[in-house]
Amino acid sequence: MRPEVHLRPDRLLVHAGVADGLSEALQEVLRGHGRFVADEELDRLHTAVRRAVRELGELGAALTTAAVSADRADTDASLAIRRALS
Amino acid sequence: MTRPDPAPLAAAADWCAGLAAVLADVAGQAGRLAARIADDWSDDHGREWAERAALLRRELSRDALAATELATDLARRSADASLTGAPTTDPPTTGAGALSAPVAGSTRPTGARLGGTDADRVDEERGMRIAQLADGPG
Repeated sequence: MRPEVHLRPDRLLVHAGVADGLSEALQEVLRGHGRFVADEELDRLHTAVRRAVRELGELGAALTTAAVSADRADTDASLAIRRALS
Repeated sequence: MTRPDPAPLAAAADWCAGLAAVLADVAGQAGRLAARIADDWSDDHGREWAERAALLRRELSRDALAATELATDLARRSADASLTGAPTTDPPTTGAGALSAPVAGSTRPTGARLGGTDADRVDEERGMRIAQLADGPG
């Protein structure tokens, strides 16, 4: 990680929650979808929403992973500083 | 030929209208999320995910418009199906000229009939019929 890079674990976790919430909102719409009529555009939209659900899920997971990593890095750094000062 | 049932078309139209609203909302939130990720996750992974979220916003916005258009189209088709009555199936064709013969109490839809790929004959008459005066005496 470059020295000028600053990650905000707390905020990344909030963003992860937002991404998961958006994914859930789209999933909810899909759950209400029945096979009403055979329509190519309807199928295309259905596929597009499923893809968006996956993308938002992956985004949420990536944000959570980044937040955990950044939090661990913060903890390690503060421990190192305390050791150096003691 | 089967006449479409208006109820599933109306249900699909309602679903598409709801989907359009949700997609537009999620697209807006994804755009704001992309901006926040760019601010709070300033390494290469963060930039990549911010770009992916921004791309997702654009795709969802396009899909929201498509869903709105499809909802309108399905609602129109449902209304058309309602106007033509309950769903029915045309009488089967049994040979050449069967479709051109008038059927008592026919439920066939009006309008132009186009040839299909099933090698059945369609109506022999073509074009519009012009009213004519009966021939006068002598």
